[in-house]
Amino acid sequence: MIPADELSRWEWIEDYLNGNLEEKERKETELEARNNPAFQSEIEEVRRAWKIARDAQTEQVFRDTLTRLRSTEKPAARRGIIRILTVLGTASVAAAIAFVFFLATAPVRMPDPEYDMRVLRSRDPMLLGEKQRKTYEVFFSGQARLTEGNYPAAAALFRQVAATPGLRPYFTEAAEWHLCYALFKAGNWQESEALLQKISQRTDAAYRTDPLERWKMRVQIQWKK
Amino acid sequence: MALTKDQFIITSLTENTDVEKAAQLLYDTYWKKLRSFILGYVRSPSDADDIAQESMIRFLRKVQKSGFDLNGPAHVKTYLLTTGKNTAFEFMRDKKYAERAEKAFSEKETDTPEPDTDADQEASAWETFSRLGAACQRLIRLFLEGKKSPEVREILGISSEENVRAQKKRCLQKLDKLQHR
Repeated sequence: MIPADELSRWEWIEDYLNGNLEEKERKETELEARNNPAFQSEIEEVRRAWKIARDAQTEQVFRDTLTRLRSTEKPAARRGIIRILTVLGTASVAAAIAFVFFLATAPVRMPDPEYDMRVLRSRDPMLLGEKQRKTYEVFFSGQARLTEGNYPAAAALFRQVAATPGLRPYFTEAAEWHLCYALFKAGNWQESEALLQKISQRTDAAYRTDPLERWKMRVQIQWKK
Repeated sequence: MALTKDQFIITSLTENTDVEKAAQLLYDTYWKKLRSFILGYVRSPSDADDIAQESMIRFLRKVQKSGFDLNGPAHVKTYLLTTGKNTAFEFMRDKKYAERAEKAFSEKETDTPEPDTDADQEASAWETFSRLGAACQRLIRLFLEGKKSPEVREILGISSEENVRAQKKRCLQKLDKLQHR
């Protein structure tokens, strides 16, 4: 039976609109609505009110979702900068990897063994003293062993030259660099690395070694160790 | 049979179900096209964003008010673009850019059907609801969340269930009056 008091009738209508009434009650409600325009308009009022409330709630969720999605979109200018930085970053990483790969694989180059002008410094061998001349010969023998690939023998000869007292610093340093290379090629990483460190730390070197070649050797020693 | 994107959006917005998902789908499908179309009328990207959002809200109101016939002459995309254009003109008029708006209109006018603007003229449900008092808004929201009168009484600290029911009725009647006065 449709309630007589306003409040209960309002809730009865809510139940009717939500499909919560029994079949008999539903039919009773529809019959009353057909016969009673005031009751019909009451039903419409409840229907409209809840539709406004539901639509308002839907719009709030809709607005919140759009606002959230908009805030996650990166502005176009920022997107462009990010793209440029990404490309530059990727290129830098690729270049760094390529450079490390180059250092790790490119052979270490030594001065021309046939005629090392830097060691002789244009001096006429005929004008050298006996001791100096013999030391030069040992040095060039070392270079010849390097060319043959006999690195332990080359190392022994360069070690002899480097240990000779009274030579010009330039010549001693050249012998050390060649010794370092021979040790490296002979697989004596520890001694080669120690010598390389000594050469690299020298601030007043008379015999200049190429930093790139030193880096190649350093990386390759680390790689092989 | 699986619903198309447009069918899902319209069904969800009409039935007030999966609204967040529908909004996300609408955004993913049409936002970029709509925004770049609006950028043909207004220069500022942030204005274009605001206009695009307003156009989507107008689309929602259209769906809520009178439904949206997917078999009719206007598809969702067409409706959004046309609404976007009209909203952009309103925006430009507001900013006293009428001259530029007219020029842009003559260059870009299309044969797309005009959306009906009834939804724009009457206050939206959202606007009406926001004019309700805070207490009424809170009470109705609790019922919309599916709470029953005893829970609402407890949450809001109302003296009796009878009062909760009476307040609910009063708030809903007020809402209806605000909308239709």
